[in-house]
Amino acid sequence: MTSITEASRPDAGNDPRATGTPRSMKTPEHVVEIVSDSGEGAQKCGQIFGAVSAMMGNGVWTVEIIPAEIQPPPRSIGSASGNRVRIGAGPVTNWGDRANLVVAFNEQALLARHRLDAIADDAIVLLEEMWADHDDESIRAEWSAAMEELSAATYRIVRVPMEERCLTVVDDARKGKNMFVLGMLATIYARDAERTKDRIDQALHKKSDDVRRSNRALFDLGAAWAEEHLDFRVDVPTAPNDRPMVVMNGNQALGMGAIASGMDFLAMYPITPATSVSHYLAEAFPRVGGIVHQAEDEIAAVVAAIGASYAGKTAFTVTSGPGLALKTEALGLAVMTETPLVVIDVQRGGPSTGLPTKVEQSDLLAALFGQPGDTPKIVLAPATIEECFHCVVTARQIAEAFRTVVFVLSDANLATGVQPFPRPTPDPRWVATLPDQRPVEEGAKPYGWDERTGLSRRIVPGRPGGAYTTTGLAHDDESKIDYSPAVNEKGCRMRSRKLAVFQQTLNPPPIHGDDEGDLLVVGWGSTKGAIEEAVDRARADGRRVSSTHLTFLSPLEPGLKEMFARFEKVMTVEINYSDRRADPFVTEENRRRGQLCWLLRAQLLVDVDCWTRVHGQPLAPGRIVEAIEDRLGIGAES
Amino acid sequence: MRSDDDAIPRAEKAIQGPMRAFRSALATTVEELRGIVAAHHAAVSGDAEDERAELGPFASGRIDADRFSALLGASETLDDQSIGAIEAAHAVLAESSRRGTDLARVDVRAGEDVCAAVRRATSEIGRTFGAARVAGLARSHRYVARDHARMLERFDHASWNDAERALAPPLLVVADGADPQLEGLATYLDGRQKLVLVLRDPTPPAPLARFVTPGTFVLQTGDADLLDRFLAFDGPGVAALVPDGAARFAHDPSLGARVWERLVVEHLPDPATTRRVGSRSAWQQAEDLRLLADLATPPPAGAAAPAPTPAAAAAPAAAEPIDRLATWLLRHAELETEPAG
Amino acid sequence: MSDPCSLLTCGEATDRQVALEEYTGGLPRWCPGCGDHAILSGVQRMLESEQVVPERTVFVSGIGCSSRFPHYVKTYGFHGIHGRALPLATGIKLSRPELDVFAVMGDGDCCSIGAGHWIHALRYNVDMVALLLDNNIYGLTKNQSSPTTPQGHPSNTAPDGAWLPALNPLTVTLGVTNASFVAQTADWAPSHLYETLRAAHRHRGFSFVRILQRCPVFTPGIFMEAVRKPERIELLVHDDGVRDEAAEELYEHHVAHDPSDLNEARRLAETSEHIRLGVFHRDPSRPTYETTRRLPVFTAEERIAVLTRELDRHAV
Repeated sequence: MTSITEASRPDAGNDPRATGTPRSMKTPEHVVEIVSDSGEGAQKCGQIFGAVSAMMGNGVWTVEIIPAEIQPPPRSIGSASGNRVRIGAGPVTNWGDRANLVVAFNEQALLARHRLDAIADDAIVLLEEMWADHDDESIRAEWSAAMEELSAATYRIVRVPMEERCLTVVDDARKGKNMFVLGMLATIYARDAERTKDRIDQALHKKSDDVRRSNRALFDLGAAWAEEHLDFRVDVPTAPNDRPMVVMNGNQALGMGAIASGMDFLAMYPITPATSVSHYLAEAFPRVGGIVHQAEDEIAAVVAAIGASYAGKTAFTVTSGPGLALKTEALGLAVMTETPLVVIDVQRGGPSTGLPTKVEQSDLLAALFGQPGDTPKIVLAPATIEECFHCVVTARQIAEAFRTVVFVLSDANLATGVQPFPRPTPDPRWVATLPDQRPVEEGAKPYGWDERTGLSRRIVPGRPGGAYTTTGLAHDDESKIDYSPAVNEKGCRMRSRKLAVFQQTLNPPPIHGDDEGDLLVVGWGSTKGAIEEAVDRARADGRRVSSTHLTFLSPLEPGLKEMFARFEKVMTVEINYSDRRADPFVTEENRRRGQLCWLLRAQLLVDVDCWTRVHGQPLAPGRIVEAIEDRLGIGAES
Repeated sequence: MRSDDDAIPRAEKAIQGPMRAFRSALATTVEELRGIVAAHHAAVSGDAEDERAELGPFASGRIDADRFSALLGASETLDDQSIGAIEAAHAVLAESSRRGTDLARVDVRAGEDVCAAVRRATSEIGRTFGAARVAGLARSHRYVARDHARMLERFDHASWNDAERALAPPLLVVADGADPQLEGLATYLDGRQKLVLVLRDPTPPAPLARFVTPGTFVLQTGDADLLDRFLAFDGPGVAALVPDGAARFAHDPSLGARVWERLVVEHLPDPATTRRVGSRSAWQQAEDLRLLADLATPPPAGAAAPAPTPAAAAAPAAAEPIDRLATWLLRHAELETEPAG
Repeated sequence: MSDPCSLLTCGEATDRQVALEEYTGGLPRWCPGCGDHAILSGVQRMLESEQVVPERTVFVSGIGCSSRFPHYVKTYGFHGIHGRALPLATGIKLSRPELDVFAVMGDGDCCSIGAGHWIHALRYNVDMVALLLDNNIYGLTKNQSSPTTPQGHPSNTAPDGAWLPALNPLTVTLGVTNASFVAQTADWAPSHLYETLRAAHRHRGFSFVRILQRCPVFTPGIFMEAVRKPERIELLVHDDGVRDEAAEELYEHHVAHDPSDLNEARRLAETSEHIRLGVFHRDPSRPTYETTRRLPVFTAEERIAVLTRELDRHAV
């Protein structure tokens, strides 16, 4: 089925140059993937393409395709590395469904994406052709086998002499093929060449002039080759941005949000996919007097952050599932001692070491209920990269106001996704002030709880007249150890009361779609874009479906029960594990459900259903549409 | 060696490290007071506007700032006079903080003597201490305008306590070498106060000779790199970057108990070659040089030996102190680079 | 203690003399005869003689008998979780270098559950005093073997006697890169204890002091001989270490040991027939972690200016 166009060879018969003016495909959106062996620069190519597209006024979502291993053997299925870039005429909030254009540096990378069902049936594939006639017989055999396997698909594969062309400019085509590809993409999508070349210079600002010059030359070469040899163009209409935009990934946004919040102490231990927050901050934090303390282990990291917070200024830690498990006891200490703390958890696939580089909404229940005993804390989840930036400011403020732990649940999808968003306007009031060091007033107590709200004012070290000992043991309002029934009851009640009070300050979440209908989809965190896009598509097909997206998971936002009652069915859509109803032995009673589903059922006594996947990938809107239709009794769910 | 174009930037660079402790304390104070002022206004006005801003755009639509602010309850408030004083203090401190390293730069104006210029600079720094004193009193309800308000205007060096003197930043003073008031700077040598002078020609050969006292670091050099060691000294000191031809010496109190152990003379011009500079006569300058030679010379092994003549002193001063200078430089090189304080 | 970090603190500097009683917190609930009482007295005496400012001091502990310590000293205190006193203290000191920080641990806390932190705290060399109150047993949880329990000593978890040779905290400590102060003293040598604490407090860096501590309930016999037979003790004596007349008179065995000699310190730390008290190692030249890492404080205004530049870097 696959048609192979040997675009570089006029003698191959199907000469695109003979077709005259290239065919222009106007489309509201397009998904392009650039895949190579790791180290060949496909990611840099994708990032620059995404940034230039954003500058020109396309909506953009860029996500990394990460190889499974650190040094995978080249030209293997596991080595596929690169980017998916989804561009649209309007805002783009997720990675979309399947790729419409794939640029592959070798046939194995293409095969990897093909096997993951990541490529649309009618996609165009631009494939490096050097492997077809390679000197190495085994490579030629691999090529043939791959072509055989791909022949069942319906892609249009265009063979491109990338290596051959690049060698006219550089000695080692591995370093620079990515710029040739960027040139091709610029021609295909009519990207502004000068802006793109500026961006190349920026990306290579640490390199020599010679390197920048040859990269620009490779870009021009790719652009010219595409101009001459490709018979198609893609037109995704652009609309100039009406306000200044910034572009970054979710982990950079979290790090920058920490700067904005005024926090200046991050204690962490390396863990994928959270670590890059500390990579960004290790470089940027010193510019505002902040330090990244890489502790000896996950426990020491959170404990040092608690110590720093206790000493006065709210600190934070970043982690992911396995690290969160190790921090369990210390988080109980923070809750018990009412020490403000921000915990950023960039979730990944679990359980155990699980899927280190892949997305899962794995830690909701662990964040809420990870500790023995009652450990009320506030849990919030950003849904977009823009929210990754802004939520840290809010989290820090709440942590201090309520003297508690605030969880920020991000995930691998946000961590590696790159999206433009309106440039924040920093306000000095976001920045934490330093704690008051004035002498403690007569009668003030370290846990002088307001009986109504459970709130109390902190006394930080340094204040004359305040010497007391903070303890993780049951204690009275003077922080004296006390195991008596009344004291323990009261301490627990006061700490819990704060959540009820905080919940009273929350507004009900908005509904996407109508206020009532046949199905309400409920989501949380990074799936918002995909869910809302799916709901829009389903509604366009006449389905009576709406969605709501929860930001606060502990305490839950108000008004949910009443909202759910206006829909025939309620279903969560999550990236975590649940038994499927049709699975053997699974009954309504023993079915294990998605984490938010579990929480909503327990908290609201509403029969909430769920549709979840643990495929290690962001959700594609198309799959959610299928799930919606299935729940509405239309079509069959796979 | 010093060239005028080079000396000022190099001295500026050297004082940046020691400035950090002061600037950091200043910024800390600004932020502490910002917190007190914000908390007070939030409590008094009952207006959630600040709360809304503090929660940031993420909270917009999600958190009701009015309810948030109301449920959190009022924090401590201050009376009008106290909060007014704190706000005034905050303004002084914030302004000083914005000036950054400028605070430490003293350019002697035309017609002004160096002491007057340093007094002007210390009173600027003093305003930060005075403002902090006012804020400290006001936040614990002890502020009385009649007694304390003037500290916001003026808080001269004479009023600084030991902690303030220890924290005061080094001053970079650009002055005429021939300034007749140079020696008056001794008034400011206390705590950990450092004065770094960049002297414009014409300069007498040993303008700092008469500053040598047991606990004061005195450095006259052409090599700005030596300032790091000088600035790291845990006590007061005065240093001058001087042109070629002037005396080069270091008096480092940590080197020993006796003055000749502490004083290392690298170069001493012949007292016979001095010429009148400004108001300073040739004899006065020769006297400076003879003083240095005297101080640097250990007494002979026997008892009271006759004082060496300046000419006689010059010879041993050339041979032996060189070794000690080498030792001193070696120590200097091994020293861990830590900011003072 | 470091400089005041705020002009407000600076302006309020007073010459107030703090009396010994002012360091007294709650009434200790340790067993009668417990070595911790003597250690507490020694610490309070040192606080008074050094005129440590109570409100600018934090005692941090983990879990165990010894970890009740902060409750009994009238300064700020943080009684945390088992084994984690050192990272807690590290966070406090990195955040507020002007605070005077003490970490008090037992042998279970320091040498077992918190052993990883112990190694790394030595390497960070944060300026604090870390006290290991080593009674060779888990006391609070009622008589289980600890890493320092002598081989053969019975406990509830090893009724026939501890299976393994005891861990030597001194050789462990002296083996860690960047260790800058290592000393040993004993609860029954009060003046030596006091002098050692004082030296530890004056050292700028991580001062590790192992204090041999008697538990009258579970290990009454372990240090009995050492207490009764002064000839079992060998004092390390040096002007750069600890000089204590009373101890030097009582204990006849002296070793002149220069604490800057790390190799000799390691040799002396090896388990032998003698119990050695004194400063094994002191290297004041090692930079402290908080001086290396800590940066100046920025105002909100300055921070926003930096953030604006960060956003510029990501603008499209």
